[in-house]
Formats: sequence, C-alpha cells, structure tokens
Amino acid sequence: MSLTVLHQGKTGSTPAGSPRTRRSTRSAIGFLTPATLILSIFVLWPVARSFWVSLTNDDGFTTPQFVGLDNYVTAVHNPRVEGALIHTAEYALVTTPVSIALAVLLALCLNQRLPFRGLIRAAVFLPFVASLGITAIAWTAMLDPQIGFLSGTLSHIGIPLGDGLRDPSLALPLVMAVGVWRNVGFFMILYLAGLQSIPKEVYEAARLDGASRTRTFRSITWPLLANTTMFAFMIAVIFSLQVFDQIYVMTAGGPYFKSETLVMLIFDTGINNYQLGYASALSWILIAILLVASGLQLRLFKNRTVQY
Amino acid sequence: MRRFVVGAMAAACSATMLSACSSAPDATNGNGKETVTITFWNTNTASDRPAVEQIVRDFNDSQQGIRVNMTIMPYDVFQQKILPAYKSGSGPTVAAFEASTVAGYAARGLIQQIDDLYSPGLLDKNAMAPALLAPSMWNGHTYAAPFEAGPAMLYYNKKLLAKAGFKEPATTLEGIVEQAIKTTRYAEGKDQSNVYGFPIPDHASLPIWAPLIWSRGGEIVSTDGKTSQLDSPQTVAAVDYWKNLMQQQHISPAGLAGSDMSNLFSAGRATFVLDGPWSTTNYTAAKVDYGVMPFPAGESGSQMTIAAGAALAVASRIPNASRQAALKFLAFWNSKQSQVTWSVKSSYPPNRTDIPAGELAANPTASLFAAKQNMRFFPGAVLKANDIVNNVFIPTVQRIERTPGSAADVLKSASAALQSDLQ
Amino acid sequence: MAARRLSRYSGAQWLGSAGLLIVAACFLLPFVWMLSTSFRTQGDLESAPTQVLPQHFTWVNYIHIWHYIPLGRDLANTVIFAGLVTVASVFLDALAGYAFARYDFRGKNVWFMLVLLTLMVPISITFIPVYEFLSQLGWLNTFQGLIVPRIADAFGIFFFRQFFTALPKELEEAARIDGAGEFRIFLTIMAPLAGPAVVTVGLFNFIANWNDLLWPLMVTSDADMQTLPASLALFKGQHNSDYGLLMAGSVIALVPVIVLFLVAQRRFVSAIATSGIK
Repeated sequence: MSLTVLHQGKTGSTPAGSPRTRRSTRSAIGFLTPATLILSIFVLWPVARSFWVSLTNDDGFTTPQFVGLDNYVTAVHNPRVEGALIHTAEYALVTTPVSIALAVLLALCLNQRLPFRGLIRAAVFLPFVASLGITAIAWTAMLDPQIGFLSGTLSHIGIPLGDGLRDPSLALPLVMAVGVWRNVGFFMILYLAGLQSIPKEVYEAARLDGASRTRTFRSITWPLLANTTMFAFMIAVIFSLQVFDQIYVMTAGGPYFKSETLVMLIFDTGINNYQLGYASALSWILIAILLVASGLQLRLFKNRTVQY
Repeated sequence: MRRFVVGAMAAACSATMLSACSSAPDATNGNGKETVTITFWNTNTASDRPAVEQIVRDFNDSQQGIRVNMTIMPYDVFQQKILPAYKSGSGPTVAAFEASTVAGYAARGLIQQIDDLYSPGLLDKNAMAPALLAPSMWNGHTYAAPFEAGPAMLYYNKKLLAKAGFKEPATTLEGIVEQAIKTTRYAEGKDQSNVYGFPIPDHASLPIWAPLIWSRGGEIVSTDGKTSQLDSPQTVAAVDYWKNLMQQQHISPAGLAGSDMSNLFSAGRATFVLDGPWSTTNYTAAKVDYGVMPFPAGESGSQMTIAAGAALAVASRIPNASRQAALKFLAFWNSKQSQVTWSVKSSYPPNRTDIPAGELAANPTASLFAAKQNMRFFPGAVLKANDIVNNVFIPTVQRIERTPGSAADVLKSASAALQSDLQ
Repeated sequence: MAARRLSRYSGAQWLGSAGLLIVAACFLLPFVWMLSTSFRTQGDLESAPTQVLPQHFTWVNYIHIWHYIPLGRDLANTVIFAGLVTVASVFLDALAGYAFARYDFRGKNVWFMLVLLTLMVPISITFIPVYEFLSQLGWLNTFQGLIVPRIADAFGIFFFRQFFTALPKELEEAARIDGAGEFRIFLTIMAPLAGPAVVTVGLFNFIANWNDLLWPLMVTSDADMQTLPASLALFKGQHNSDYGLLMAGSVIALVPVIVLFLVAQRRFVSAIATSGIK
C-alpha cells in the first residue's frame, strides 16, 4: 500500500501481447480517453505550444519571429527575474515546513479526545474552503497600518507592524503568513487521516514497552506518517511555487517587486504587457523548477515510504 | 428561461416559413433596414457606472438602426481579455482604453484611425478640451475620442486647517506645503492616530507623483514622448523636495495606495489630498468638512494637474457599417446633451469646453471640477504606457520613498530604463 | 444530554481545548471581521476602523447588494457551473484514476506523468491560447465554455488512483470470470465502493470552482452569465471600494461552501484516510 507515485501497479504476470494484456490495454485507453482529451486540449497543448512561443518574440499581434533562446538569455540576466526566483524560493522554503509543522502539531492535538474538537477542526480548515481572493481583501484591510484593526490591536500589545504590507521587508513575510493560514487546515486534515489509519495495536505495543510520548512519536507515529508527509510536501511545494491570489490582492508584487513571485511576474509580463514570448520562457523556467523539485522529492522520499 | 423562449420561437418559425425567420423582429427596425449591433467594453464599475448606462440607453433610444451592447468589467479583466479577444475576432467594436494606452493599441494595429470622426455631422474638434485630444493621437492621426477625464484637485479638510489657525488654504504650492507641515501630528509608532498634512499615494491610484514633479519644474517624459527627463537636475530637485517632506516632516506615510490616502482623508486624518471627482461621494458620506481647489503652481513650475481618464477607440478589421455606427456612438457620447448628462450624473467635468457652467448647476462637484485648470495625462501618448507606469515609475518612486539621501542615483538608473521603454 | 457528554472530559482536556480554541479564534479572525464589516456602513467603518464590532448595526448592505448584483441569477450560474463541473469531473477523474490503478499497459508511467504535469501549470500560461480556442468554437459566454475545459483535473485523477489501488484485486477477478464487461465491472462493482473518494474529490472540486474568480471572468462577459465571485470583483471599483457592501456579497458567497463543508466534514477525514493518501 505504499505511495510510490510512479512505479506502481505492476499487476498480473501475463506476458506482453497476450489476449489478456491487449484487452486490458484497450479498456484502459477507453477509461482514460475522456479525461485525457480534456487535459490535452485545455492544458497540455497550450503548454506545449507555449514552448514554441518561448522561442519567438511574440508580442501578441505582429507575426512572431523565431529568436532561439534569446528570451531565456534575457531572463537569466534580468535582476527582476532573479528577484522573483529568490522570492519564490523563500516562499516555498519557509511556508512548506512551517505549514507542515503546524499541521502536524494541530493534527496531533486534535486527534485526542477533546471538548469542541469538531468546532476547532472546522475553524482551522475554514480558510481553505473560503475564496482566497475574498479573504485576502479582509487581511489587507485588517493589516492596514493606519486604519487596520489587527495592526492597531497588535501595536497596543507591543507588536508594532510598522508599515505592514507597504514595508518592502515585511510584504513577503506577511503574504507568507496568509498563505500558511490558508493551507494549514488542508495539511492538518491529511495528517488527521494519516493518524487515523495507524493501527491501534502499534500504540498498544509501545505502551506495553513503556515508551515515552515523544519517543512514541519519534519512533512510531512520525515514521508511519511518511506517506502523508511525502504527499503533503509535494502539494505544499506546488502550492507555494504557484502562489498568486493573495499576492495579487495584497501587494500586487510590490513595493518595488519585493514580494513578486515567478507566477506574478509571468502574469504581469504576459497579460499586462503582452510580451508573450518572454512570458512563455519564464513559464518554462517555472515548469522546469517544478519538475526538478518534484523529482528531487520523489527521490528523497523514495526509500522512506512505509508499508503496513 | 429566455433561452428556452428563443428556442421555441425558432422552432415555430422553421415550421411555418423559413424565409421570414431570417428577418426576425429583433434583426430589423421598422423600415426593414438591418440593425447594426456594436459591442462596447469599458471598466466603469464604480460610481460612474449609472452615468455610462444612462448615455448608452439614451443612444439606443435615439437610434433606429444601431444598438450598443455594453459590457462593464473590472480594469484587470479588461486588460487580460482585450488582446486575445481582438486576436480571435471576438473583441469589442468600441472599447474605452485608459487614455495613455491608446498609442500602444494603435501601433499594434488593434484599433483603427478615425480622423473622419471630426467632420461635419459628427463632431467638432474645436469644441473638445485640447488636453483630452493629445493622448488619442498617434503618428499624426486620431485613434480615439475622449471618453472621460477626471482632473485631480486639492481637497482640504477645513477643520484641521482651522485647528492649526488657518482660515483658508494657501494659494501657492509653498503655502500649502507650509500648512501641511503645520497640521501634521506625527509620533513614531503611532500610525493609528497620526494626522498627515499631505498623504501622497504611490501606487494603485492616480500617478500623483507626476504633478508633484511638474509643480516644481521637473519633467518625466518630454512632451513629444521621445526622451526621458527623469534624471534632469530639476526633476531630481523636485523629487528630493517631496521626498524630504515625507521623510523629515512626515506629511505622508510611505507606500500608500490610492485607497489608503482616501481612507485617511475620510477618517479626518489628512489635511490635503490630491484626488479626483469620484471621491466626493465618499468624503461627503464620511461627513468630512472639506473644500476643493485647483492644485496650485510651485514657484519654479507652472500650474498643472494630473488627469485620469479613458478614450473610446474603434476596432480594426470590422465591417464598414459597424465602423459608421461606432463613429456615431463616439459623436453621440461627446455631444453637448450627453456631456451634460455625463457630467451631472458622474461628477466628471464635461469633455467639451462649450458647455455653460449653468448647465452643470445640478451637480456642484461637476461645476467645481470643470473649473479652468491645466491638466495632463501620464505618461501620455507612448507605446509602452503600462510598462512605464507599473514597472518603471511606480517602483522607482517607492524605492525613493525608502531611500535616505538624494534620489539622484535611483533616478539615473530609472531614467535609463525609461529611455529604453520609449525607444 | 450535551452537558452529560461534556462532563466526561478531564481537566487537562478542558485546558487543552481552551488553548486550541484561542488558536481557532485566530483562524476565524478574518471571517469575524468580514461578518462584522458586512453589518457596517462605510462611514461607520471609516470613523472607527480599529473597532472590530459595528458601532451601529445595520442590515442595509444586505439590502443594497441586491441593487448592484443580480444575486439570484449569479447564484444560479455559480451553482450550475460549480455543480456540473463537479459531477462531470468526479466521473471522468474516477474513470481515469481507475485505469491507472487497475490496468497495466505500455506507456502508463509517461501517461500518468503527463497528467501530473497539468497539476503544475499555472493558469497564466494557458490562458491566452485557451481563450482564443474557446472563441473559435464560439464558446465564450456559454456554459459549455465555462464547464467543459474544467471537467478533468489531475488532483482528482491522482486521488482516485490512490483509492482504487488500495482495493483488493479479487474484487473484479470474479466478475471477469463471469464474463462481465470492463465498464460494467467499473460501474457495478468498483464505483459503489468509491463513495468516500467521490465525496472528497467532489468537495474539493466544488470548492475550487465555486471560489474561482479568474476563469469565469475570462470566459464570460455577459452579465447574464456571470458567477457570484465575478460579480463581486466588478464591485471593487478602481478608485474606491465599499467594504460593507463587498463583505455582504462575500458573506453570501461564502455561506454555501461553508454549509457544504460542515455537512461533508465528518466523511471527509475518513475518506482521505481510506484512500491511499495517508
């Protein structure tokens, strides 16, 4: 029952070319066709086409000219792209572990028998259910340095937020905080599910051996949650590399690009400024990063998945 | 439901006489002439929306063979949709573009030359406010008609002025600045209660820094739209002047958005703000005791304010009938009667100069904003207006607000970036 | 009854719960602010912005919002859009996930990799070509244009694959020996077992599409076709926003997903637990 994403499902031992396998292949294709068609037409084909566009100087109207790798070269030398890459990396490196650590903590607490447990779980998950476009507006208003109720309250109790989202050094951390706020509940649910599927007998045995709580967690719970952790990490990295909504609403990448991530930059380049060729090149840089990150994670987690 | 009714009608038609169907009732007018439907996109989602809807209704009522089908959408969505829409042929016949972006669309061939708009029977060029015509010109031809233009004026809080012992706002820029300094109540870390003399927004607003620079004799883009003057000594001096007022006299927090500025004024915590006519409703609702005056000239500059606005352009590659219908609509929009309706309902000043003040009496704000003053769009008729504003001007100003010492170095590198966008 | 149930908790449990309730309150803060703001006039908000509660409670925003936004129509559109996408997508995702889980065929890994790749593509990359394509089909401003491009999604396929992989192999073998067709095996034997996965994928899908803003704004321009979040976006003027009205509309948009979530919540955790993701 391991969650190895790729090398799975080697089912029967029928030799290739046997009637059984041919029938199996035909059925599989039948089952896969509808979803594949939709994904190919509306996602894969546009993405593939964008690779071609990334090799041109397409500006949205005049006939595109082939320019080779020029767009990629320009991107590599552009300080704004460098900034966006750094911010994206910072966002991923901070929000992923923070979200997951908080989620594990909350899941451990909320897996116990507690009064109001359901209510607390629902409250933590609620941000994930609500539209980030809307809740980000609320956060922006609450964090306003001059008239925000949250920044006012915080400065009363001795935690001044200064210029808040307008402060170039605070904009990205605040946007990260909102990202964590939104996604923690989702990861918590994953971990709750993970905790529930650990057999009770395992703990029973640990208890009989007289293992302490931390010891039980370190040597039983956490290793048995490896599948969940791997899945959560992959999703968290995808979430953070694609972060857009709250940045778009809260800072639009500012002040002076200090909270601009790669997706924000792609959006601005392609959709606001119509530099389609250049934007496509940036998109492919992002896709490459996502592929490498996912591949690394697969490798990292490969030997750690558990079966029970 | 409506879909169903149409379907049922079509079925009934096909059962009886096919030929009559092709000229179904809503496709023709009383004379049996085909109705031309033109689509119109704009971004007037805010308080000016009813005024736009009114004039489009008036136009549709006044025309026999033309119908305007309007879609209003948020600015961002408009920006995102317009290019693919034009490319795929589903773009609007008429669109209201932010004034400074007209040249870019003209150069891409997305909108067409409409020199003949200013011909007898349509529109008289001499009746239009000259400042509104400038951004619609590209390569010596007209590519758009005025749609709306709201000049920024100086709003002042009478109560805050009186509290500091001023009966009236000053009449010179230096006087205003003096009053702004005197009315500022600033304490470090007391953002929640500070009073600011002159909050200056730097993004998501009118480009207020442009008139600030102009007022002290500085310039950003030369009037012909060809060269950057962002690093000229006068510009550097003007920027430093305002920057020091912010950093040392605390007349404004750094990094404000337009709405932050409005919120401060609404809350009675700003003495002066430079803002457009659309804000009067909010300030009145917030019960601020305020007055409005033109933005005065500084001692080293001339009187000039910034205008926010849009212009109406006609899509390329459309049938001649649609083009003619679109021109009629553009002329109707700028007719005397429509402009009175527009101004009275929206508080924007009229696009024409020949409307007597008395006609606008129904809306005092409109009359105020129609006061004679010089105004300009920023950055004007240049190809990469969006890029210049969003990726050069705004970040530069934001950086300067946070940088101690002179802005000269930041402006120098920004000027190079601006120059490359102007080429 | 409830009191008796509550009295079964120990003091330490009450203490832990109190701490967690504070955490929960932090998570709920923006929602409290939204709800409170929806009962305030803009003037009230501006005169006392640092107060979280209304100075003067008013229903006026909930009345006025009807003048600005065709709420009934928008809600209907949103339900049709999110509902149909969810139904179709759960079905297509289940089919595809099933094939990846239960069949062996050449190129399976590459195929699956391509599906996962779509999970990583941000919409800003695909938007312009997709818009042009929909326009050529004449599908802009139509429900099919809104719905069809959305009816398969990688996350759902992945989830169903995990779920079906976890089911014992013997299930379909018996049916196969009896000579049942593959699709019939799927429909009559496997699908009925997939309830928890259907709830999970369906809920995620519904939430995502209900909340989606960019997609409906791009595909529709007619007021008749707009969804609720799109209409709310229209509301945020370029120069001013009326927070009270905006939040009243937002609260109305939030209520259906929150109710749906609360109803499905209990099955949700167990659904994820029984799937392969754990």
